[in-house]
Amino acid sequence: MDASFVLFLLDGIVFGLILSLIAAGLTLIYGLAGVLNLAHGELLVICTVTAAVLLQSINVPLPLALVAGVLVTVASSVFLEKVVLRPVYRLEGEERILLGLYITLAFSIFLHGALITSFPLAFLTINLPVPSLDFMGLTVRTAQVITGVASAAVLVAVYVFLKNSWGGMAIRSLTQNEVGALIVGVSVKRYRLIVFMLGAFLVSLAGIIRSVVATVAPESGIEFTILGLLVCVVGGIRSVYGTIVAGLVIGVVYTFLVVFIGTYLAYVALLIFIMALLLVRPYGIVGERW
Amino acid sequence: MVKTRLIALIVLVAVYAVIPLLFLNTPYVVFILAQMAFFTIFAYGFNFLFGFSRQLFLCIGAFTGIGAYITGISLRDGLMGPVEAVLLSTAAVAAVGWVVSFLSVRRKLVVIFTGIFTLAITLVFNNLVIGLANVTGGETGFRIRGISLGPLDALPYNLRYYYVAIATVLAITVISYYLLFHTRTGYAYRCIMDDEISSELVGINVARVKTLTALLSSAVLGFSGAQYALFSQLIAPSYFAFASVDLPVQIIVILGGRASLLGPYIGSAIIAVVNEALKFLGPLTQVLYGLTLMLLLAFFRNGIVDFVRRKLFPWFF
Repeated sequence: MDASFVLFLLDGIVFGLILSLIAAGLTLIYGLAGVLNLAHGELLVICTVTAAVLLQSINVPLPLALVAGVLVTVASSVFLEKVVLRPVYRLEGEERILLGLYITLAFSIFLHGALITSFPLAFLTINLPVPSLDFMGLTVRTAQVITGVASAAVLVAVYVFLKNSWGGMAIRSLTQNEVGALIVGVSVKRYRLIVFMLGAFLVSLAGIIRSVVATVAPESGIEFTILGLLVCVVGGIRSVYGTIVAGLVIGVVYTFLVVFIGTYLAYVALLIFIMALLLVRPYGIVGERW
Repeated sequence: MVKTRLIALIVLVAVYAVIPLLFLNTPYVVFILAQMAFFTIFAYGFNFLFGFSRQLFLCIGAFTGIGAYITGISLRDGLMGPVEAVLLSTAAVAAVGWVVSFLSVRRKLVVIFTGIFTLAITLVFNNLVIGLANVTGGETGFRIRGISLGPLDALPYNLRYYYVAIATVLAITVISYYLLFHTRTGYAYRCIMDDEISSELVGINVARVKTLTALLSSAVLGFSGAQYALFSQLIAPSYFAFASVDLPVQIIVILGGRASLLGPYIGSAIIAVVNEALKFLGPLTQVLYGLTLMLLLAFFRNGIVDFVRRKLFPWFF
């Protein structure tokens, strides 16, 4: 229990919040549209790559580049929902889930190939001009604290939106019972689009926040997808609250594993940890059936 | 019925035996054919897992890779002879596949869970191979020396492995045909393909059939992965990456037709030709693969075999 322990814990919490942002979008989309979006991590990369390209090539100011990145990401997710996933919605039940999984996998492969061949050097790193703080003998990077607070604020906002606003209630009702929601006059099509846009917005925020604490490479999309999916599975795939908890757990565990046994083996250990967790609680740590 | 299928099989064997002989002067074509044969086996493994028993295993590359690395490492370090190494790879991959399937089937997890889980296995395999660089050679991999295949040694190098792979896949086809249409398990299979819950209700042990399939398919994947390692002689992570094994295999299975015995042959032949024709695109091939897979899923989900069966020759089947 020394100084670096606290710093690793902070690292882990920030990473966990980022994972929660990714997984919250996945959960919402899966709950409402019945599509497990395997292209979610690539959406994150679209945002960072767009921003990085704008910054590197035509010197756009940083905030503008980030806004452009978010907009491009949201536009791609609208394209995904309206064009790519069109055949999926004609199916029902397990067939729909399977085809949705497959088509988004194909879409993510397509995006991955396109991104790494066209912009192989579009790494995004944002250096916030804030000093490091000395706090009880520890050197804490302020940027990290800011990112942590920012992602927590976004997550709280999402939670409040789902809990209290009319749109949030409509989304929750569609997730629970599509037919019932339709009868009381909630449009599935409209909220499906909204949820996809919301998911893309959250994931692009996650990308931006990630690029403050680390560099986001154009090929790292699949990694974020898988981590996000693992968070979803651990959190119970229908519960946003569960994904937030699971994101924190996985973020902290993963960071400590990286510190103690190295990056490559950390994945192996993380997967074993998750397997064990799922054998004890097969429906996630919050325990909702899916 | 049996007679027509027997004739079809003999024609298949004859065609596959003769084709490479036409290209004896161009070893490159034979090399492509050998690779095609190996991908047919991989596709067979995936077809059985996904097509027949609805278990979405997105770790075909990892499974073949495990087989290849076990064989490669034991041959490089002289731990055992080639036969034992191949057998060990087969057994090891079969065990891994069985465990994965057991976990997902016994816990009653839906198809997406298996998908996520196996995708994570792919990631873990890649990280493990790169992370344990002192054993596996890391990113660049390692080389092994070629081994003797007995009487086949008289043939040119690529042709040897072409025949090994083709013999394997034809044997698998015959065995699975027999299993599917002449045994109780085969009937169970065809029931599960139609409706899982109803088959459970009539007393079929769905979990047993699924785990058994995973065991056998993974054994096939481990065996063919080991053979593939012997064939390529270079074992590197990029050979068994998601993009270089799983992706083509999925296109082959969906293009050829899920849950059909002939599908992988047709799919892999088409993919081999298309792949060569588009070689000039270089790294853009992946973009094209993604696009193809998307279009296939949207408009041609049932594959060529089903198309032919329904539209062109309904009288034959």
